[in-house]
Amino acid sequence: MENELKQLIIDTLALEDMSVSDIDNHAPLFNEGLGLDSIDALELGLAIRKTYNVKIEAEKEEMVRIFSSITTLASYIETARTEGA
Amino acid sequence: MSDNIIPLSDCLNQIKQRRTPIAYHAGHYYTGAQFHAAVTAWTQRFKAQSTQDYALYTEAAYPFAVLLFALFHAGKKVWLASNNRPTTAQQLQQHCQLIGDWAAHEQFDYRLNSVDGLRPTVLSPLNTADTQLVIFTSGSTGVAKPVIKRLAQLQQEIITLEKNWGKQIANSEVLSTVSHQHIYGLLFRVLWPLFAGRCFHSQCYLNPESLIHNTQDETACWVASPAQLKRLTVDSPWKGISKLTAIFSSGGALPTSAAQQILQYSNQAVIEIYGSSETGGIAWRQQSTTWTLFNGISLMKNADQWQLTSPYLPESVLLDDQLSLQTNGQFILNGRLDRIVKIEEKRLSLTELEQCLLATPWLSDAFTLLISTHRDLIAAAVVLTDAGQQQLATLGRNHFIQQLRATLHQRFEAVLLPKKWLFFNSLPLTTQGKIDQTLLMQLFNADQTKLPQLQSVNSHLNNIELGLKVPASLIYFPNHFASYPILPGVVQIAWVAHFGKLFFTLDQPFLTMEVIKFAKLIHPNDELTLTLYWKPDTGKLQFSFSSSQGTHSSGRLIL
Repeated sequence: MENELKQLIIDTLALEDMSVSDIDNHAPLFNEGLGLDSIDALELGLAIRKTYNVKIEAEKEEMVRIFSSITTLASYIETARTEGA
Repeated sequence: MSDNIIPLSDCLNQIKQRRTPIAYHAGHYYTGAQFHAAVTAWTQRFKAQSTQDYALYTEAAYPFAVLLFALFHAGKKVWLASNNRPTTAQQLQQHCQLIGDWAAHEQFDYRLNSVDGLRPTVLSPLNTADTQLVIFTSGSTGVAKPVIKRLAQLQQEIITLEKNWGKQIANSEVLSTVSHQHIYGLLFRVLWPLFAGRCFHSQCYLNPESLIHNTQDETACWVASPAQLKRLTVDSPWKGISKLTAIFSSGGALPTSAAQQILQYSNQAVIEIYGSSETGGIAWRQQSTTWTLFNGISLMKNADQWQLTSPYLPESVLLDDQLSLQTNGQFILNGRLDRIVKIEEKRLSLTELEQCLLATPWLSDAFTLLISTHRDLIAAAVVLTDAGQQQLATLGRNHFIQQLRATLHQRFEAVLLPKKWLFFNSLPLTTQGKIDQTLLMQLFNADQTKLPQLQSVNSHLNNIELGLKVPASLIYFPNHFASYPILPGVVQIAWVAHFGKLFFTLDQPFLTMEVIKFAKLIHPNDELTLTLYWKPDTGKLQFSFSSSQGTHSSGRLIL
């Protein structure tokens, strides 16, 4: 799941200088980590909805937590999918 | 209706009497009395301080309103920062005291529920001609410039907005996906609701789903921007969107396709506003390609530029936008005259970005440009110093770029940072000695399903070395041998022809080839050097693809 998500991020956001092995599971996705921006978050949210049929409609603090690393994002998607099924 | 508007000068005392909530913040509705109390308490604190200028930045709009009015009532000048980046803080600190959410990972205590302001105090009315807000915006010269707005000017704008759309949005709550730290957000989601008696939501929602979720079945309108609106899809919350009383959009033009999609799925005709920090609102449109001027505003051609006269401005202003005025007074916008670009409504001076890059020890030359692929982004063509070359060798390309981005992030928001980078030994010039923007555009805009990712260009008169990475996303990989992806020889030849034509500006096709050798296979994610040697007298283009493993292929193409 984590690697699949990394590939989704690279493809969705056209991070041409990155490969799956460059992204750390625990590093922050935004700012000092992977350096994603607010528009990236928006596009990533759309890609996640399309790929996993999981909607992310959380409040700001919750959103920051969900997107804080690959691991947190992956576990959010896993949980949402199980609950939805 | 305009008679709903409270005069700005005395709004605090009048808001206090209001029965309906004035804002929704952190899960609670706040009343006019609570607002008045918080403002009064802060006013007393500010009055006790000798500082005259304050730079205000907050994440949420309600505490912003509290501090803004407290500063005004304490007779202070307020600087509105467009972001809270460290460099912005440093610049503003030279003449201001910082207040609000400036420190990372630290929560500012806004004392919104403090009771010491609850004593029956009457705040003396504000002088709208003297009360000043300074907007801090990026100028085309690369130096941030302050624009002064007096309360009277802002009041004029609000009256116009209320006249145009007050009836339509009636008693809607105002929800938003844009920041209040810019003039559009400040007017539409804070000042206008306050003065017209509408409740505004403090939080800036991150996506339409959260916004719609928070309308809680109340009548609501959405202060939006193209960044959000153009990303709506078939499964966006259309049911909720269709119930809104209005959608506003500003900061850049909304693509016609996006406006049509919204109309089709929700029957909403988005109201777009055209304006700038300097000028305030200028015109509006709704499902139209042409813009209509707001009441009282006029445009006159003055040499190459348009001169704007507006009731919101003390004197006329020259516009940096090009436009064609039609006989009916409506106009079409045709882009800007200077090197200011907009990325997702955020204004960026390319000059300032380049100056910031050149201030690092690693770059000796830099040129940045706007590329429109699936979204708008910034690309940077840069020349490394010796120190930069060393840094690149030590860190590797990926980490070196991250370091450059981190340096820029001290000053610029993440959305504005270059996403594409190309390292040159010298920037390509046209025969007139100008930066060859057409070439750069073609190099940065290359279709990555068919062409390699270009990483570096080392060019001399008739030979050139290109650093390439072979993207795994090429359409040729699955087609060739499904289980064993290799780059077909014919594609290698096509790449040689492509880059040969671009760099040596050849417009004829190559007719034949000779001494072609394919020595080693090329796989996805390989990093290669393509060396091209052009001999104009014989019309031959010699090439080789090589890597640390040796030569992969070589040969000559002939015109």
